[in-house]
Amino acid sequence: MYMTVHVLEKPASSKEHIVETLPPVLAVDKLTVKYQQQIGCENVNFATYPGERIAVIGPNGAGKSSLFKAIVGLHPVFTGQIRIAGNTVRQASKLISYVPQHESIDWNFPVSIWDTVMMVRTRLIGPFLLPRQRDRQAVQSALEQVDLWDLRHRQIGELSGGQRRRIFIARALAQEAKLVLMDEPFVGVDVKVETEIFDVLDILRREDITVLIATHNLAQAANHFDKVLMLNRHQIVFGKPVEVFTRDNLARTFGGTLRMWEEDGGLIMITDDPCHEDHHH
Amino acid sequence: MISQLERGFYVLLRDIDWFLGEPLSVEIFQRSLLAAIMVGIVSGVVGSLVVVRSMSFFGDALAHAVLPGVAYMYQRVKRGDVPDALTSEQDPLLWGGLAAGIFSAVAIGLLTRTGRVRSDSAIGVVFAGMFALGIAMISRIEGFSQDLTHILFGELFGVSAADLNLIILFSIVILIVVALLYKEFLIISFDPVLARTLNLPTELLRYVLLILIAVTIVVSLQTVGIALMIAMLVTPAAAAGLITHRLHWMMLVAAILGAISSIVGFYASFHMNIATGASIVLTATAIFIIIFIQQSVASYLSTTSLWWFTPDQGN
Repeated sequence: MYMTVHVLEKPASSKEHIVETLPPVLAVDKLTVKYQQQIGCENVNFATYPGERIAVIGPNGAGKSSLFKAIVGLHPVFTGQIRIAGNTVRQASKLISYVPQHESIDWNFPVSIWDTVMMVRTRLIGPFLLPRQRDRQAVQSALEQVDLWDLRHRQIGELSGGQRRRIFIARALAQEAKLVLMDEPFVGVDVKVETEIFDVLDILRREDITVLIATHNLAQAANHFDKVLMLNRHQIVFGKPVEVFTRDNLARTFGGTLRMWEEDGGLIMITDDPCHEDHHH
Repeated sequence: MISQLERGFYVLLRDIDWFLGEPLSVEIFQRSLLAAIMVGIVSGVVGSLVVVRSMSFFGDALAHAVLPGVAYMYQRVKRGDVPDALTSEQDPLLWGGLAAGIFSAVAIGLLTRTGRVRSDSAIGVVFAGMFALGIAMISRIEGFSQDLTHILFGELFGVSAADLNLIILFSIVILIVVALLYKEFLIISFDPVLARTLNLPTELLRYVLLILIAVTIVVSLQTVGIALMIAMLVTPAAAAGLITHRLHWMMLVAAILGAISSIVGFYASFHMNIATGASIVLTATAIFIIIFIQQSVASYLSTTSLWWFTPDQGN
């Protein structure tokens, strides 16, 4: 696969004022995740602040999914710790919204868009009870923000690729989450849908919601995110795109799968990685 | 002329009255019909969960796995250790089936929990083992083929007052539990990952659901029997799934289709002398086929232009 990465001094869209004096939304400290006797990711350290958008990049099997699953509490932490707004993962579960890989959703399941978004309020509604006025308003406002309100009665499989992904943004809004983790949301989408996704991601930024996105697309990571975490089993580097997009860091992240050269102020690179396929099954 | 038409009309009315009323003139048949309707409703509701969770094999297995419990109680009734349902307020067979069903459901749940046995293998092992145990027990009873037939294929026209009371009681309990845990069941079925990230008690909910399926099966035992039970769970729900796209509507439609299957099947069984279970299941199957064809034709028409018909291209 061929792509050109022009690292812009100032990203195409970025958070204007990130106040790093506030306590971090997510603080990952010397984290190692093991799952079924295998190391997912090792010695990961970073902190993110309200409204930031972070790209997590690395080759297949670099531990991106493991890291995300540990942050949402699906994989146990082996060593180190994860703090979400100062709390443990378990205490903070209602603040975290996890968007799994697109293929893992059963799009033929008999649920409407409304049902899918209302689900995230299950804990807030409480056991045995029906949604209250407050819950219906939260879902309505979330659906209106991502422009799905008119389609709310549709079965989820009837939607386009961009609309399907917007459901999950609406979910994060309805859940009143502070941290959203999206596992490869750009796999198999065209440029039009990609733009559509970034438009709704800007809504989350306005609400000061921090977003972590695992992605293969380096050009996108360089230009649409506030910070980038490069991962290849262990953490290579974490920082602003202009600082971290160097030949050395990219070579260490992607190893032999990447060749690159500089031209016209941008990096041109070729990866052997058939990125837009899903190898997780 | 008019009087002849009138007379014909009355004859027709009388025939309809006879057709519908005759089976109900005996109390035991009234009870049977009521039991069949309850079973249709409950299997439709619980079956919708079975269908959306792709648990058909589990449902079928569990239906067979209740056999040793039923067989054990059957032996005791035969020996006179416990009173028969027809002569007392108790229904030992139902309780026996319930115990075996819940045991098997929990056993399957525990076997698959560790992840060392694949779930379909675990289901296969427990189901075959329990069913064989039941057959072994029944084969020791004199003249066992008759008894086995009743248990395998249902004996609707033998619903006692005690049976009916238990069927209604259990059905109401099942419906209340599904209503109370509806949104939780929806999440663990559609989005188990969300259920876990929200810290819902997913394991507990899964066991509650397994037990609900077990109770539904036991309640339906007498109506359709072990062998055809899976059809009551799957067929009306699958038919409902074709014409609805939200789970609660699917449950409602499945319950209605289940009840219709039971009523039509009951009359067909009575007037045409067909085994009740088979008659109810065939009705449900016919409904499924009709809906399937209707939906296929409708979707074909909506995507294909014919010279006399242009589909509406709205939105």
